[in-house]
Amino acid sequence: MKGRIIILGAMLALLLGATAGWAQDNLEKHPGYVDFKTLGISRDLEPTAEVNIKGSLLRLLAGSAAEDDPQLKSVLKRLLAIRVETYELDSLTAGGYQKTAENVAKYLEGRGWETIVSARERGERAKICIKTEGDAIVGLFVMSVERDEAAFVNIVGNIDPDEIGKLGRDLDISPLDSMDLPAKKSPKKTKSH
Amino acid sequence: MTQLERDNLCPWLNENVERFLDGELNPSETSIAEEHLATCTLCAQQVEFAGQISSTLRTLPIVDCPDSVTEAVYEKVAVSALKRSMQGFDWGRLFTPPVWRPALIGVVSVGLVALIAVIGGRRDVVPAYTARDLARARVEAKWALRLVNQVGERAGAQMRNELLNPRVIRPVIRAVETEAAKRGSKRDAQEVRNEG
Repeated sequence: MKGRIIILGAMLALLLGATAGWAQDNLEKHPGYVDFKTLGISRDLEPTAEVNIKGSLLRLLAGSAAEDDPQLKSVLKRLLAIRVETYELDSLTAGGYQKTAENVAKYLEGRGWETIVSARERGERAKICIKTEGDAIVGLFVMSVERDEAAFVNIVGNIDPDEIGKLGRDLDISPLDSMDLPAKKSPKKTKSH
Repeated sequence: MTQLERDNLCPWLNENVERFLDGELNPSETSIAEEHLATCTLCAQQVEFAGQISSTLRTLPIVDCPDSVTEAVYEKVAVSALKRSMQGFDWGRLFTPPVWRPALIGVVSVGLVALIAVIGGRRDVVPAYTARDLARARVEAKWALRLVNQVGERAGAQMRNELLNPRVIRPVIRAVETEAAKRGSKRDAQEVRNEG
């Protein structure tokens, strides 16, 4: 009798676990998804800021932006995930991260990604890689390594670079550290144009 | 009695020796058994031995169960009853056939429907997000998009300044100026520059 109860419990647990884990597994198998952990970008540093918006939260966000920000909704509704990690660097670690950016770009190119922008200037690196399927861009990976900060961004989903560019220029965003949001660490700074 | 049993009376009588001794066989079977015992020494001995055991058992004195054993049995029964009453619902009955099989089928069916609904992309289970969570996510999403844009713009500016200007635009302008100077028309060169 006890065995039957255990079997039933195990079946239910497996079922619930399978349904809950499906969405996450599915995202990680998406061609535009980049697993930060496998890139070796974290090294010994803890990220100063982490953003991980996906799944139901992203859809809820797109829905809530419908009325007052239709442009943002238009972008968000086609995305599956927005992930960012930033690291505070010093003179010792900055060089390592510049090499990391180069290695990551090569790693991604070996997996069908295309580096569309690669810029270097006085110890700074910027790379933008895209993953395409047919004519559609399904993944965007951006690396920016400066003297004092490195940022890695992965956007998964159906991406229109023009739309993101226009939205980015139009956004009037307060720095994250000005928000009273204690749940996560804030980045050291948010640049503004 | 079947024909097979008639042909194999020794095994049949061996199985029914108790019924024979207790007088439980019907008259026909009794007659057959008696005829067989008259001719089969082995079966006759077996019946005689069984009869002796039966009569010996009947003459044994009746032994009373010791009080200690009786008390122990009653105590065990009481404890078992108490455990059952403390468990409340008898879960065991739920899983005794034939109830547990339909219940199991029901649970699995509901689970499969839920799984198909999720895989079909109809709707995920939406966790409860607070307005604060949404506000934070909105700021983070915008911040990420702007970060992407900044990197693109910076890289684009660098490309323009370091690649296009020195290697394309300025050489073209210089070439036009040189050509215009050759033709003695600096005004044309200025116009070309302005248009460029």
